[in-house]
Amino acid sequence: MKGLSRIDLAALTFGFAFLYLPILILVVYSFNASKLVTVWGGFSTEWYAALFRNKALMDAAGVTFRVGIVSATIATILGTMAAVALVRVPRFTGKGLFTGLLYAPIVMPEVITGLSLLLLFVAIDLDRGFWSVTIAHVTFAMCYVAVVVRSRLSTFDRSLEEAAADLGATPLRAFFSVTLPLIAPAVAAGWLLAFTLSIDDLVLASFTSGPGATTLPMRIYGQVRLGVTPEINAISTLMIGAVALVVIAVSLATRPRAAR
Amino acid sequence: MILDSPSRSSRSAPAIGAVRRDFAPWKDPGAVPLIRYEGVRKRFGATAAVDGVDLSVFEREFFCLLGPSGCGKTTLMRMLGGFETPDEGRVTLAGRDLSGVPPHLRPVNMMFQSYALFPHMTVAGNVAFGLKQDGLPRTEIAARVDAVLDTVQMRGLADRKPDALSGGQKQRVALARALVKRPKVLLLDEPLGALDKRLREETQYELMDLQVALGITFLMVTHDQDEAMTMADRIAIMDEGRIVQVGTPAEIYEAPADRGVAAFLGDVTIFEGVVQGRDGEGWTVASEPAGCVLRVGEAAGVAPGTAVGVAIRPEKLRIVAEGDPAPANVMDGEVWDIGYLGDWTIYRVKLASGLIVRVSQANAARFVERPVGWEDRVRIGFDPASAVVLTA
Amino acid sequence: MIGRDAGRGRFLLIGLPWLWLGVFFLLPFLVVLRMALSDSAQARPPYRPVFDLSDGLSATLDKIAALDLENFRLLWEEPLYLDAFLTSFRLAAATTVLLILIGYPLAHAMARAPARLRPILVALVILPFWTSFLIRVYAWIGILKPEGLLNMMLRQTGLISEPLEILNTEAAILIGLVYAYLPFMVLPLYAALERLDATLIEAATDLGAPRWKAFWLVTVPLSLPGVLAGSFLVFIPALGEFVIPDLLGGSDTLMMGRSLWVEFFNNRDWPLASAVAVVLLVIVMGPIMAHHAFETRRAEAERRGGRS
Repeated sequence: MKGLSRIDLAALTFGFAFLYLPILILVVYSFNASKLVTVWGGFSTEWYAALFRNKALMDAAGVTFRVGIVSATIATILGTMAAVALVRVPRFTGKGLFTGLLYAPIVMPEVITGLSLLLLFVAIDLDRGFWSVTIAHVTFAMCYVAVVVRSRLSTFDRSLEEAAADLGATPLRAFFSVTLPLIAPAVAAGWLLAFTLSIDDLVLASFTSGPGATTLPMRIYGQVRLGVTPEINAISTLMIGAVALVVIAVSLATRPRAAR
Repeated sequence: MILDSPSRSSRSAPAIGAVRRDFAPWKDPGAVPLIRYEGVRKRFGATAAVDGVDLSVFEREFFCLLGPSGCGKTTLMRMLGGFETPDEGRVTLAGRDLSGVPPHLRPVNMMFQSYALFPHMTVAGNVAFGLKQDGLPRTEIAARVDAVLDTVQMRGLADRKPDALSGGQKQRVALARALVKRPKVLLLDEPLGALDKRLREETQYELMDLQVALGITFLMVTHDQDEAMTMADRIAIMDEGRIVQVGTPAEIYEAPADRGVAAFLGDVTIFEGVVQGRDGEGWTVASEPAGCVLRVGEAAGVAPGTAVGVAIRPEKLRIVAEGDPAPANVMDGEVWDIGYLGDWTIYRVKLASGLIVRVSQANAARFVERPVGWEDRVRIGFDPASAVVLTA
Repeated sequence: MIGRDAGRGRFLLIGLPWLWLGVFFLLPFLVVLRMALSDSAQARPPYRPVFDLSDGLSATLDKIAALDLENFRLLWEEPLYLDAFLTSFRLAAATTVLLILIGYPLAHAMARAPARLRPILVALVILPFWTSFLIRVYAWIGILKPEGLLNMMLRQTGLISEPLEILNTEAAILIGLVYAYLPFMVLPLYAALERLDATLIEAATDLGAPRWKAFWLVTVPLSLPGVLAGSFLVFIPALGEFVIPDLLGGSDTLMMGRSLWVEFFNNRDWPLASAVAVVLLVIVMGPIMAHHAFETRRAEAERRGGRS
């Protein structure tokens, strides 16, 4: 492998600057004492303090967190099942449509998914709130989980399962004692992805939530429409920091296994 | 092995086993080399991949770089293709310094180990690629592609994509693609490594015939000693970035420069010992592992008291039967193992010193009752001229 | 006995996710279609359904015959919606092209970086994707607005004297779309380029092609599947994007996703919003199915390639 050319270095520099500068600016200005976004008024953490006094925002964060945990868990179970079905069952009725259904929500514009789910909930008279948002998120996130787990499963050495079967394990036993531990990193990554997709979602939540189930992105969206404020910068920074910490922790934890 | 009766050869004139009669430009002091490496060095990080190499390859020669993986042979060859730049020294081709000449302007072509066939082009498209880069007229390209595909017997599959070819077929296409530009030198990077054993042997002879017919200089890299011995006019043995020995296959096999080369090429038993004195035209060597004083032929650079290794190949040792005339050197031992290979039978004989000596015998007749069996006491022996005295 | 257990297990394994997607993804589209055919009304919920389960078969057939498709006719006749469609299409296409131009050099450089650096570079591309989409779009408001950082910097360097109007224009939407979707383009491109055997380039230069030509004749054609995969992943969601045009494009720029949102939340015209959804769905269905067929074929080819 040759070294990187000057063009390559320029592309990397420009690309990553483009990706990270806006986030960096946002983080820096969350510590700005001045309320004006372009004027640096000195270092301050007052916006973070204000954040924790904002009860509506804290309530929304609580709702978001609960929806995220529940929906990510259900989505991981369903998505893993779907991935196993796709990879391990050679053919079944409607496999083509099933595969299509699993991939479609990933590219489907969210406004369509959101509106159609809401209309379904209205049609079947389901109360809108925590559960309607959770169902919406499960539907969307399970597809991502399925994709992540599927790609791990398809590179998985099938003879391990066959060895387990040869040693007398039932298919179910073989799955739980051999397959699942080995694909666990992918399942965990799938859960994490589902969780961040859920706490990040604005569109689906806006359509499907009801009174008392306002999520954090909905609150942020409401304030953002009114303009840029340091307070939003502060909560954004907290969310970015939390995600960065989790991602780094996970990648460190899974590194020895990934470096096969 | 390509050698018929090497034990009778005189070691002072090792001109044996040349593939083409009278082709030996390296012996002609007036001959000008086609390729010349002069003091070439290359480091990758802390390791020296090529550590001071001087080497000349002549026109129409089939030259082989042989050595274990990581010895620097591939790096040395890729310098000629332009894919590696020497840190020091220079590489010249037909008198022209190649420094700074990019790969696409060099009159050499390479057959890659992975074949590197373009998966999005047909066989014909792959072969035509190089000619198109030269801007040749369409009709000439078509004619030359057809001709070279005929040569490698792949014309019938000209419209296939590489994915639809077998390993042997891909190898032929890669060869055709590299040959079609009529390069001054064809570089072959482990060209037969991906083929199974039978196909490999067949292809070896085809490549040799092709090389003679086309008159192109071949520079091949391989780690397979049989392949190098079979195909090359001359072989350079490399180890840790240096060239240890250059010579014809027979020279390298029969007169290895040191213990490393002797052990790398084929099987060998080395009796360590100390030179005692002259013995007619040769020397006597007192060897503790052999348990006797060995008589050996002429050897350069030794005097009484020099520590030497007496190297002997299994096929040059024989089991001395009761009543046979004994050779000059005989040792007593016990048969430890017998391996029947069909064409050869290998005996592992354990001497009193504990040293195990390999002796091989050709099975010239079918189902001969074996003269010896496991745990039999035997005498083994060899002629003084069969052994090589190693000082390094 | 074991056989029947395995059969039941398999039925559950396939059945549960199937059922979920059927009920919560497939079925809702039928509900949307029914809504799109209904009339808007001052009621809770604000529409008069056309079909009812209490109708008999003949009544339903009569109603089908009498369908006026009023909502769809409105979408077709009202230039506002046609504009929204054209704008969406134009911006999604421009985003895709820009992303190929920006993403290709980046992915190419990543694929050529030393092997031990590559996982880190990939992680750096993915990381922003894990942070809130809304927040990443929001960050651009502060940069692009008239008294924002970009204008401030341009003015300080003397390049401009009057602030540029970028926020609330199509340019701002384009910047936002390119920014938000960059990882979706880079990752498939990187996957295609990283898999590409470097000796193929060496072979091309060995056969007489200069570096740029080797890139054009070998690298580019072999990375086209990656380009196509990335384009699907970007173009389809960009067509129906709501957050970016809403936050960066202002009220003047209408894209289909935003039209739907405005009809639904601001005008409370559920049938019309549903009609927009149906149209958008029909438009994206072609690319989605093409994408699906493409991915299936690619997975198939990869499986075969992996075996040989």
